[in-house]
Amino acid sequence: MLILLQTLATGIVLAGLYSLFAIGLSLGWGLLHTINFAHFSFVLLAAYVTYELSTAAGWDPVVTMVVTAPIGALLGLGLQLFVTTFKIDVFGTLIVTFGLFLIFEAAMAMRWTADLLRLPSEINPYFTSAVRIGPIRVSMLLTIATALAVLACVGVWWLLKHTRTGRGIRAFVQEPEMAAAFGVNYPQLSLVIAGIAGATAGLTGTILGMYLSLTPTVVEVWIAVVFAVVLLGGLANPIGVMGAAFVIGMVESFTRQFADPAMARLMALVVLIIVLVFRPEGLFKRLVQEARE
Amino acid sequence: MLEVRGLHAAYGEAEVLRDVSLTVPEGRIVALLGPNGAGKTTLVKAIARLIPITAGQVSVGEVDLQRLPRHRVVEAGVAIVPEGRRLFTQMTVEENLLLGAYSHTARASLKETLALVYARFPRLEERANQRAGTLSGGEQQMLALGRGLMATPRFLLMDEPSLGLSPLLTAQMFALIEGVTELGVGVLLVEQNVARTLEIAGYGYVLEQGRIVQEGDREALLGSERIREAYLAL
Repeated sequence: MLILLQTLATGIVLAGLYSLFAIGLSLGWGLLHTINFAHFSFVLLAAYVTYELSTAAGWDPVVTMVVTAPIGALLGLGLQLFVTTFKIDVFGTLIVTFGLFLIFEAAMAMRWTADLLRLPSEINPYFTSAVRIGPIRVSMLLTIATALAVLACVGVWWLLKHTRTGRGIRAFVQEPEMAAAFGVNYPQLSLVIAGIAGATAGLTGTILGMYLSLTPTVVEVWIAVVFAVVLLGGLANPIGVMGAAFVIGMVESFTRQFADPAMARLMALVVLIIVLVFRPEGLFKRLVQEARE
Repeated sequence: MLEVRGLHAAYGEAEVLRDVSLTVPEGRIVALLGPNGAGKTTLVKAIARLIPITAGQVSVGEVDLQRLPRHRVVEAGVAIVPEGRRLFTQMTVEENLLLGAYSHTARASLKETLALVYARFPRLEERANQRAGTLSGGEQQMLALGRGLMATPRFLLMDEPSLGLSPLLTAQMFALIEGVTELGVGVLLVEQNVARTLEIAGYGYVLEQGRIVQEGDREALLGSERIREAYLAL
């Protein structure tokens, strides 16, 4: 019983990390028509920034978020401006951002080399300490990630559902011409979304900077599982992202505990494929569908 | 006064509107008649700046709409009730209305306008939390009109509001359109139902192959051979 609860708890915080990682990608794809492969680069760059500020400047690694979130937001804004200026379509963005991803990877390899960089445990207590709920222990770091994820996802959901800005964005995604006719200034609103998406990449980077040994290619193994969460969650549906991350996190946690740890990620992708066969839209609906003409 | 002067518009090489001029006074209904393919919808879209024009001018009072960014045309006082309604079908009825009042000018009086629209369309208030796409055709057309009014326009461009409605609903819709003028709003009304349209419109233009071929007040149009033969089948 205890093992079951422990596995459940581990699954939940893993889901937290996955939702934090996926929400920005899901927003960009669903609302801005940008499949942003460079999201992974933004995350890794932020992770390196956290590493630098913690080791060289002696910051508490969690505090580095005040720098990484704005960096992520600026990168998101820059990309969005580029995409709107050159009117790149959704598949175009996949190609362009994949190119960016490779450029970032090369640049980071030049700056930080291919060596493993790990925050020393004495300045990174979050990695080793745990939160205890009775007999159950969960990683302090992943608990922080989960709190951030809930904040980000619920915050974005509220923004989209209950604010004037959110209404304008949803209206534009459905009926761009009519939304503009009633005063929606989409280029401006799209920057809000791009900034938020970028900021979540920054936050994810700080978490991963404390969680992983950094190399310029370390995010690559996360690509498949994060895309799985994005697709299962229904595009631009923040609550769906959390739900999908929960499913994937649980599958991983239980596989790791009760079967083979090496199979954990693989099982998550098997679940993705099975779900997509039966429900091509994902487990959850898109927040807004484009109007069918 | 909504004024269109010497307007030309084209899709690629094909010129769709040629030297179109018309005026819509506040608080009046002006009919825009003409066969399918004459360019009526194009004209409406060009006025609302949804498509570019190649020459001419569209102005509300002193404001030249062509000089405004597209999303600010509504602030100058021009709202649209488009052909096919084009609601935000996945949003609720109330969200559609709120979106109608998205502009800065409309937002100031949002509460009052919403109360006014609900008073005129009690049906919409009953269904406030229903998704717009689940409404009946008549209700959807009411919502499109309500959304247009939420923008607190001085001029409303209405493109085929009775399309697809039953005769009873069509009669209701025309009564609602007439009611709009009581608010001081000028209406440019594009309609297939010429007989009914000329009952409520004081003035009208006939558009054929992209040109205004005839204009006049109700009596002149009803008395004209061309209108009687081509549109009223008398």
